[in-house]
Amino acid sequence: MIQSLWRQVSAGDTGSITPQTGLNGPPATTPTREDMARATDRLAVEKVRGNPHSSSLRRWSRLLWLLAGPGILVFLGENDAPSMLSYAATGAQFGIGFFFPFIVVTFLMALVVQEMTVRLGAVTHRGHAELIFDRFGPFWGVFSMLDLLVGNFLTLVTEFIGIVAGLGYFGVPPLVAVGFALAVLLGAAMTRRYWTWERIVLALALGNGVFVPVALMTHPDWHAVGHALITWGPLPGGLKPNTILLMMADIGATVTPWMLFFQQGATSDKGLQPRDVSFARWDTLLGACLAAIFGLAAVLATAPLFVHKISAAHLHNAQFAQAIEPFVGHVGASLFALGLVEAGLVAAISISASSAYAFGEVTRQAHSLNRPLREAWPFYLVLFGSAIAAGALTLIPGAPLEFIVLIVNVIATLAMPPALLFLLILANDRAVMGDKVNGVWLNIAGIGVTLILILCGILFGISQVFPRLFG
Amino acid sequence: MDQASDYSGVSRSDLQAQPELVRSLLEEDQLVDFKSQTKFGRRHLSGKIIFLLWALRIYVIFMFALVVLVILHAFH
Repeated sequence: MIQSLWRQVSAGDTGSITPQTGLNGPPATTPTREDMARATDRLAVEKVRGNPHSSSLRRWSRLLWLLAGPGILVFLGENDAPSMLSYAATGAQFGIGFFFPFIVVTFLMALVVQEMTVRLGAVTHRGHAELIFDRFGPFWGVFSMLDLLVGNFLTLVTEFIGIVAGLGYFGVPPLVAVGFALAVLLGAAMTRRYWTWERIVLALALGNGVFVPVALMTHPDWHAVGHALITWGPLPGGLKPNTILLMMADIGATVTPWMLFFQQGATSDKGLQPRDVSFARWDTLLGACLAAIFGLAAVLATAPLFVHKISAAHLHNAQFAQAIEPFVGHVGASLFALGLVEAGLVAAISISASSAYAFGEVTRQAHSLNRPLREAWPFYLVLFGSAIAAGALTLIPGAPLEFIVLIVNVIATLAMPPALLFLLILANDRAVMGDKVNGVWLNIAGIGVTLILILCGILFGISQVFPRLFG
Repeated sequence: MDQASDYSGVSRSDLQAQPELVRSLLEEDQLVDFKSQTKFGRRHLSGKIIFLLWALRIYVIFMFALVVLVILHAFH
């Protein structure tokens, strides 16, 4: 496709790829260390594709193993500390009811959005920020980056709050907790290989599954679960401002701007190609299913607080672990606290990578985890610097941490509609996507998700300005 | 010939010795040199798109301000 686009450029068509400066033809392409690393990963993929002795199921499984990663990581990364706390608050305040199918729908919305993202990454081999700056110009690009960087930094702070609170349950001092998280983040990023980094973080991310045994320890009422999924009820207390706030938080726990920038950046860094898109979709679907199951498990884990009418309105962070201890025992409560640590850790790694990818793409600096520190130091500076600053903020006495935890998911939901507009336009841009543009149904779903998010935002605004309208 | 079968005997060390193998495994626009020297050009933004971009930008600014006010109110 690129060769034909280049010919178009030479013939005077400025619709697509253009040279940066004074080039008279396709630029010389000397493989770099980054290319070499990516080609090594592609070699493994091509060998599996070309193995005539492998059964089709075995080949499919092996290819999925090689090509999966960004999708699972983005969804399990989004099951972060504030998200798991949001699900915990949902279970404690509303039990098993309306929010159960509601959370499933939020993951379906995220799936629609992330499918477009991964396709963009595999087809263009460019990050999301780079495409926005290239196609919309710096004016709109700066707005987009501001939304991303503010949201990312605030979210990063909440990840460290979750890590400090989770490890605090085991008596670990905050300074040690922050230091431990930063050491893991640094250790993973310093492997100088995207593949190694991805596998380390994937192994950590599967730890999100600890919420499942905690949920099972509460002996959930499966009849109530089935009833809730079919009837979307009950919703105790009806639609009140507090309910709408929790709806916003649960949406923000699943659909956020950083996910777009991270998954597209990781897809490009991993070296996925258009013919890998079907595997990238499976990867994304798998990530969405796992994250939905783990998120719902967090709701189930705290549902006994609602059943036993234990007030959870003022519970936060690891206090949920202490509150559920009478129902799940010390082991269950410890697992819950450990889950918060894992959620914060994986998200801190993913979100700082998302900021670093976006920064590198916009400034056109090297931005790959396949590069050593000396070749891509601005990329790593943003990755480490944002994490260190966020971790340090949680250690400052009197910092407005509660304020940040309260607003972070709501801000993510409110910032999403403009990000989705950019995504929808890019995914329908033939000059960028060629024949991989969105189909009609995907556009309907994408526009539907955008409208739902806008309506939720407006409903939230009305509920806060005119609370009496909601009883 | 099936492209994939071409790589059956290729090892990682071969990639370093033969740069053309790297080029054949990656699409041209995946190569770092190509990406650093090219970019997608600006697209034409129609009036409708500009209207939508501004509308959503104003929506975000208004809602963010509302969130800050709500939180400040809650803290008092």
